[in-house]
Amino acid sequence: MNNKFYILANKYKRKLGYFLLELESDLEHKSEPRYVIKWENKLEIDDAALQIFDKGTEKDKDKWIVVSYKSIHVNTYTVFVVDIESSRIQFRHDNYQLWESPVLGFLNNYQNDFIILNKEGTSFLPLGTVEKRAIYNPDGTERMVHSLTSCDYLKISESNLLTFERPKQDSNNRKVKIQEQQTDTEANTYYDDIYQVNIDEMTLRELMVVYSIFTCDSAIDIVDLIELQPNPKLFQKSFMELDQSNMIQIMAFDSRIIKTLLEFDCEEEDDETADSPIFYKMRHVLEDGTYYVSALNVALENNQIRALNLIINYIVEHQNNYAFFFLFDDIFLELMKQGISVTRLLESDILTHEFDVEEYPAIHQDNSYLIKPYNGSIFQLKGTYSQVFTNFANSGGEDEDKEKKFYKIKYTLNLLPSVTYQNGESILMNELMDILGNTEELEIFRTKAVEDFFTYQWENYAKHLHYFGGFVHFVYVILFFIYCDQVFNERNYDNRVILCWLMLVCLIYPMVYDFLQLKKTGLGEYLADPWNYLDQGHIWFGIANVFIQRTSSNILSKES
Amino acid sequence: MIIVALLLLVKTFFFLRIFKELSFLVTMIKQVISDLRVFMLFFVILLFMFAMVFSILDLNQYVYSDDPSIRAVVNLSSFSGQEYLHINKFLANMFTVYRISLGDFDFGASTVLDDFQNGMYWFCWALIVTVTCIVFLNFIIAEVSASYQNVKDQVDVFVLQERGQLINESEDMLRARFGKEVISKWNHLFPKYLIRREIDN
Repeated sequence: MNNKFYILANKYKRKLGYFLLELESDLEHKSEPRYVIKWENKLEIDDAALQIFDKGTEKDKDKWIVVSYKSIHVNTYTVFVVDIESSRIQFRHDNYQLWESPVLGFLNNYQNDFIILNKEGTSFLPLGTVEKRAIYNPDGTERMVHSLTSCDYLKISESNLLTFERPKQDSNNRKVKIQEQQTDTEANTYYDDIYQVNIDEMTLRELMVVYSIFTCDSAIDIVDLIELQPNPKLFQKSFMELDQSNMIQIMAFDSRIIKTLLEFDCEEEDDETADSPIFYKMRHVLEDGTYYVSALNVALENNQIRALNLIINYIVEHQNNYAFFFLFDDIFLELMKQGISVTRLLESDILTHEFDVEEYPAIHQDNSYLIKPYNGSIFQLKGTYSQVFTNFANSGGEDEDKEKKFYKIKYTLNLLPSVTYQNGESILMNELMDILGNTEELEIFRTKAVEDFFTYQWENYAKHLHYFGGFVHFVYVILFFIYCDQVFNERNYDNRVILCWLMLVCLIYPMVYDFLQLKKTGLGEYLADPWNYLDQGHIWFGIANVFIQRTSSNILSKES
Repeated sequence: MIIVALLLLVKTFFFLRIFKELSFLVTMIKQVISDLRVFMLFFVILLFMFAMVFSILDLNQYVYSDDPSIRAVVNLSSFSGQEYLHINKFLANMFTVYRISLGDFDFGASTVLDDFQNGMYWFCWALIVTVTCIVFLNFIIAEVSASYQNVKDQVDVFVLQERGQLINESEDMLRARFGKEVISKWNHLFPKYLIRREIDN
């Protein structure tokens, strides 16, 4: 395909695993094969198949490779979908499959389903873009089948992959893991877990409670119903029936409900649900379209300030991971505007994440404190050291002085600047600075996130502009002083004209500066700031003074 | 020229904000002035009211006296209240009260008042000294101290908040100069994330 061959291998230098190679079709000019995936999992695989899946777009590159195989020991049948263009796994699906039992998997291009045939019967995985469709059992029972792509919105970044883990024995509950595919220095592939969602099968009792909640007339009725439950597990569970969401997220429209649910006395922790976050993205299907929002969006939309505070506190306490920054990415400024305390959030791992990845040296002879810009993916920090710290890129080699002391170094990712981004461009910078300038929550200025953000902005552009302005003003003050001293104290008029002209030149810069400010803010906003009157007074009284001093031949009575 | 010099003073103070070490003092002055607004309003009302009392007592009004010898005082080379000759009389009385409130006492003008007026003058003087000098001035000093302490406790925060405003101003300038479209693409100046490198203690 695309003049390329794809080969799935099971062994590489006598090491077991799965290795997906890409080879150029032009064998005469063959280059080194590229490993799309090089995963040494020490497991033998069999009944493997490689298929090409066309996503249906006109682009030639919009094709996936569907790889399937069964693995020894773990007894699973794995199907994964690799995007050819990015060489990244999009989905991975594991199911139980006895190693000794034969299995056959193939792609049905009519319905875009991956069909699996084994001794237990026929099963299928919907791979198409249709989110859900109804199928019928032989007895006529209607069942809803969700495609793997219907969970796509759970991804935080486009580079993430979704892993549908094999359900535990005698259970239909399935873990959906959101992972990031990484490659180490030897081109080995590995996967970092970001977060996981447990999709539970709804019991009849749970279905009845959920249905009862939807039929409640008021929030008070819902609170009463919640309080009748023995524990809050039902509300924390994610169900396919709720579009992979849970009831807490859905009911974030009322502070009383959120308070009751989050303060529910939970005696025993369920191991399975303990690892899963309660707050993540959910699908909101409204009349005008489908939206992917979080509980925070819902609470914010309904002005539920108490609910927002409770949810934020919960996230900081139980979901304290930078991966959950996506919950705040587009609402952080709005939260600050509403006066919601964000200090804890700024101090948490969500906005300031200390990381330790390959290539970033943990010890170094240079102990300087540095703040550097980073515009890549927060999940792809590996391999970016030389781009971020360009001045240290070649250190550690011949230049290293062995007698010099080594310091332990730590690296922290500050996610605060990205709240100013919208559609990939930093356009909300002013808004953030305005909010910070007027906030009454002064504690946020003690957080490292804000401090570093200010330091970076100041050092990189703001200080140059203000230092230049300060220099021009300083020159003006000196000229003014010389003028006062010579003309008024000494009655020396020799340099009067030249001093007047020089003072006028010094007033041009503040005049241009304020004009640009006026242009940027608009007349209304400009005049709303009382300090601008002072600036205007300084400029125009200054100019008037220069002209009066310059044109009047008799400023002082003794002059004639 | 005087107005320009005064504006220059304020502007110079504002430029000092760009230096972290001096920003603290500028912030302090701003904060103290802001905190004293209400007290100053009260103080001005007091000056205004007591100035009216002095106007009623005919203080420094030598020329309108029935006594020719008092009218002749203005012809002397030096006399009490001479410094107010070129300003408005009510304003002069306000300055008199202001000076009393600061402990600068000049009783010359009271010596030419009649007995009743003189008695009233001393009553008012005692009242002004008690209210403005003893009570109010100490109030102001206490308020300034409290305000100073408040700023001092959170000086790093105020300085950073001030710096934020300066950064905002610079960003405004860049946008106005180069256009929103252009600078939103300068991701080296406005990056999506920052990476901090520091010693791990």
